[in-house]
Amino acid sequence: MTIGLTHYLVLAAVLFGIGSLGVMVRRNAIVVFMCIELMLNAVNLTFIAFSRFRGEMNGHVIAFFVMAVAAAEAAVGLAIILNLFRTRKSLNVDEANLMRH
Amino acid sequence: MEITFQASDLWGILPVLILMVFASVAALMEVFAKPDTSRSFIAGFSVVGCLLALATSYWQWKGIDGAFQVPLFGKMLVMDAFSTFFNMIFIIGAMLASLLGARYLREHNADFGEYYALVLFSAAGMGLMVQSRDLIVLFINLEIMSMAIYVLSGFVRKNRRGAEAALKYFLMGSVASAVLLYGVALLYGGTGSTDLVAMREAFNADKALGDSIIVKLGMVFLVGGMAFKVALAPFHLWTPDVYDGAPSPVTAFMAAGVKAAGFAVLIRLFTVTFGYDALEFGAEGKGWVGLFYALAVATMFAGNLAAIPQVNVKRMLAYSSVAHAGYLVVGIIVGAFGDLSNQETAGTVIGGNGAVLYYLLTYAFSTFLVLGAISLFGKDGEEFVHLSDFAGMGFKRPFVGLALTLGLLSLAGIPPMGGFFAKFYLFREAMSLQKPELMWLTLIAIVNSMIALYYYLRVIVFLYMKEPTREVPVFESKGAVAVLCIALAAVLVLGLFPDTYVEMARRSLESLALR
Repeated sequence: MTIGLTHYLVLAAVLFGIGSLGVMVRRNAIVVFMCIELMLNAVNLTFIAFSRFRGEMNGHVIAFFVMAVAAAEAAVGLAIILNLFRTRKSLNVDEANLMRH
Repeated sequence: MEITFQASDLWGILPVLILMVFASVAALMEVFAKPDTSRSFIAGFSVVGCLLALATSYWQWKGIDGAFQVPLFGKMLVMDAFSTFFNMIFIIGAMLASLLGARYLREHNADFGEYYALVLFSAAGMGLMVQSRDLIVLFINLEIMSMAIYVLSGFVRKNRRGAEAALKYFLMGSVASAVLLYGVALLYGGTGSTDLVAMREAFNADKALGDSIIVKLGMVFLVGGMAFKVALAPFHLWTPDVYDGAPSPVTAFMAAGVKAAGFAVLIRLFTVTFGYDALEFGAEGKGWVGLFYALAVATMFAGNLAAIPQVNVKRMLAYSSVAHAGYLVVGIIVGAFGDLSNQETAGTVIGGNGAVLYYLLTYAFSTFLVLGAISLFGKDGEEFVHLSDFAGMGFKRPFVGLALTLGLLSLAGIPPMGGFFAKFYLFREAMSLQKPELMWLTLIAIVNSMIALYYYLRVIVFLYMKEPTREVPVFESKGAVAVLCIALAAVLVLGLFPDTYVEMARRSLESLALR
């Protein structure tokens, strides 16, 4: 069996699904953040698969941009999570409910 | 793909470049400033930067040929009247947010110069986002805008509500970005390009393309991601918490800027790429319009019904901003049915998208008027935004009370405020196409505006007809007074002499309608 475009797309879709499921069910802010990174990497895989099978470089370049954006997002995100931890000594996102009336 | 880069391309993004330079210098000024001194001078510096950027933007607006797009940086960006129009909104928003911030931050013990740097960076991101012609450039600029806003919403670090707001906005926003990016990836796979015009050509060349599951999924994900940014139901659940927890000047900037940027991108996307002919996909010929009907109706009701029981005025405003996003979607639907090219362009006929542009302009000033007034209520990291905190304030602080009242009336759409004409044009354009489904939609929108009257007027009742129950700290601020004066003047001018600005909106759209 040759591995074709569809296999890569399905793998990416599954990874994306695992990521979004993780965002919904996990309660630790860091783990939720890791799941978001997983989603971004699934997107990268999609880009690269399409790019490879179309025989052009655009998707490869885009993947680098996405990685750069993900790195910046990690910097900002971890700072925000750290700040939340400082104010309430917990990383559980369900306990972040001050504003729920 | 060959990317050519000319020095002249830099002129096309000059306002954004000015914002970025001023933002970087503002961040450096904070580093070299003496500790424990007021950072108001950075606010002044940031306002100077905004004025300079506004002047260049206006100069571009005057110089640009109405129906012309200037491609920049190998067709990655464009400059046209449309992007310049929105650039001016963002720059004014950044200026008002800087003016509001100076005193607010000192009162809340968070007087750091990064605030101004982040506001300017975010405005620069919005500007480039609207100028993007390539979906990847669009995504990167969306992130530049969003990341600055994530940090800004938690800017008062000691405030636990702010920290929570930042976390929620960050997590939800990142998920939305990932979903949007997945949409871009699928569309890239389907059409072979991320360039908006090339995608359009691919759709035109192969009508069956619209039926492919990859393209359909890609569009749904793309719209879902954008719907999050502009807070459409059912992607609006973050809005109340974030608008409530974020500092009021940031909330105003978010409501005015991010919303305008999101809708600008939606308009460009659906005019340039998925518009009119390309819209009628495959056998059903429905395309994405049906999806937007559902979004519009759900958003209007979700916003308005949830706003009614709110006793926290900022939460109420958050839900009302959701409702306003619903009205704006009606405008986008109308814009999809008929653009300027197949309508009379004489007079004040501006099409659905033109009405959206005018609406966003008035909405930006109205929110700054309301939230600018509200930002004065509070001290030491705590904002006093309960309904009862406003009791009697109309007499105690007449100017603040008046500004708040007129801002709320404008949001409610009562003449002679700008908000009235915004709604008037929107509904008139929707009715003018004489399609039964649009009539229904307009009727729902009108019913919703009436529901909205209740919760807007209730604040005014508290302002003038109730006795105060507790001592509420309200600080004095020259910056805020300046903001209120500017916003008040703008809202009144937009309400009394709308023609100039309607013409501006029409001209912006003309640059878009051609391709």
